[in-house]
Amino acid sequence: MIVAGCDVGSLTGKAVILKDGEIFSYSIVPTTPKPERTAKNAMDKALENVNLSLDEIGYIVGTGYGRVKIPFANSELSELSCHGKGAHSFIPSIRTIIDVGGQDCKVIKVSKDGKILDFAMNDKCAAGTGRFLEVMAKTLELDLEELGPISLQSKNQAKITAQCSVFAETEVVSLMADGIEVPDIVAGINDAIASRIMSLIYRVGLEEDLTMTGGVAKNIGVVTFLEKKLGIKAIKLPVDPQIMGALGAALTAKEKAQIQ
Amino acid sequence: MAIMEGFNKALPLSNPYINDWKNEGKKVLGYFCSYIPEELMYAADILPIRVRARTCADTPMADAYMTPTTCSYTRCCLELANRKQYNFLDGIISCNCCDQVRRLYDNIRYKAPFPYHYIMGVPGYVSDTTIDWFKHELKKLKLNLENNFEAKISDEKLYDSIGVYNKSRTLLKELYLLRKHDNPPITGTETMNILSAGVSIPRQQFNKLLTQQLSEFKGKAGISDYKSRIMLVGSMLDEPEYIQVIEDLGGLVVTDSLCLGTRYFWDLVEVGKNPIDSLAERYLSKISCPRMTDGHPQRVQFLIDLIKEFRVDGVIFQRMKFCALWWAEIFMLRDNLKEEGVPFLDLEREYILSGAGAMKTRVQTFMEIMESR
Repeated sequence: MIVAGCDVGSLTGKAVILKDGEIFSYSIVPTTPKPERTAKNAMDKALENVNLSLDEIGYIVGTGYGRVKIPFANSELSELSCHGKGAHSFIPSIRTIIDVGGQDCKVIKVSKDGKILDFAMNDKCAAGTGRFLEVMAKTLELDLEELGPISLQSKNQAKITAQCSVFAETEVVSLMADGIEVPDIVAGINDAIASRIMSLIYRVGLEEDLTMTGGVAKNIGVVTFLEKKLGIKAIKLPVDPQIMGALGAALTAKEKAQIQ
Repeated sequence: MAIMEGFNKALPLSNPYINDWKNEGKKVLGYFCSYIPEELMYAADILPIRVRARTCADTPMADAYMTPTTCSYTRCCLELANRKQYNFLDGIISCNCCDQVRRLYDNIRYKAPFPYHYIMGVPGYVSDTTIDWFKHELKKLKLNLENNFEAKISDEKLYDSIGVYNKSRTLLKELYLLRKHDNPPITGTETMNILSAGVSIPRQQFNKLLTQQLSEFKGKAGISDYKSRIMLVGSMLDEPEYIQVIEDLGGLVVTDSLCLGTRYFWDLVEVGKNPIDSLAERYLSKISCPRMTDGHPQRVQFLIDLIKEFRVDGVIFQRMKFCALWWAEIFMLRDNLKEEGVPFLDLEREYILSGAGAMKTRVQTFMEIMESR
């Protein structure tokens, strides 16, 4: 049985195809202004990888911000439930999932069966999200992927105090003008994100084990700073953490297809 | 639903009911908080209306005077006052319900004055002493209204006025009782239309409309296609569109603790004794807003009682950004609900609905949590 999940997020679109319950193919594509098009691009790419066509997929679940706009989805589920399900399928001991995506930062609590119990999400603000990191990377003329490793070279971490990504950028510009080393600034940025995540964890309460999903989970700096604050290690997922939402959607598609 | 249209006509800031009232040569006063007794104004033949600002699109002027870190309700009111959108009002009455509403009063007086302003003191906790103080405040307000509007507020007129408002409260409670049913005849969105109309049109007309509406509900097939029964709790809310977002996702709002909702009508004014005394006692010791410093235990009990009575599946806390009173209260209430095992969702909002997409994600997830329980 072949099923799929499609996650249309704020910065990227993701698709995961499952064959007999195992990941068969997946894709990550940049978001377009139209969620329908992002969904199609992601799905086409995942299909192309394994030479499949859309009509060979038995059931598709949509998720993410564009979830109601995915023309080929049979049903939809919130990205919070999907991230919980996706991460839990790899690590059954997982109880807390931190998903930092393009415009959202979420802390999700799941039961031992992987069902979502509670969550906290950032309020209307991009600080502490992937978008924030993108803006910062651009300001520092770095690639997004460099932000993690560079911050670990820091010897004297700079302090970024602004809670708002616009003001944080101003702060970064003045740190640059003061001649502060780039690794120290980036360390400050990653630490600021970790602090925002901590505030959400305080709201929901921490229960181990814990893992990180979403694009920002690939930033080793944020993960390291967060682990330091928590005093525990985040369990690393065996696949790309950015596809966890689409994977959760695909797992739901599998359940739905079995009922049908 | 012809009667519903009667309520909907009352939704604009200035509505036909207000125009008719003014055409009779009578005055209209705007008030800002449910701690200000409408009965006193109504007894002076003045129409009291709750100041609302639903037509406010943005707040550039108000942001300049009040800073963008005050709540959007007060900024929207100031913006509309600056834009002369409340010109149909003959004056305003405010109180020290929270610092932001107080500063709103100051700014309106300074930048967009009305022919009449009054600010009354409302004590911050309940005791024999503060009730006595509040009685004095009400007497002062009564005298001020009499002098400014050449009215005589006799005890008889005050009794009549209390009777009209008590009748209204009783009818609203009847409406809410219908919402306890498995298949309530009315949505939360429609209820909000009725509640907003209640504070925007003459009370006797409202009572007549609501009586008709209630008899129409008898025999009406109720709503059965919902997933969960929701209670809405938090800051000033008069926007049916906000509730519509929740109900579109399958969460039927069946009750609330809102200052236009249960907290507005749950407690009656006692009749048969000195009317000022009765008003002071009722308004100060009614189901409170977090502005009252010693009211938390009472508010928790009220919430838990309503959850049981209305068989609520989950509570949605809506806290307006920068509403410090509700912000802190909700943080405590979350723990209270955790102890009771009642699921809840904590939502930040602006006075005027914006970012409905982000709200939908949160509410949908909340529905999924309740479904999987």
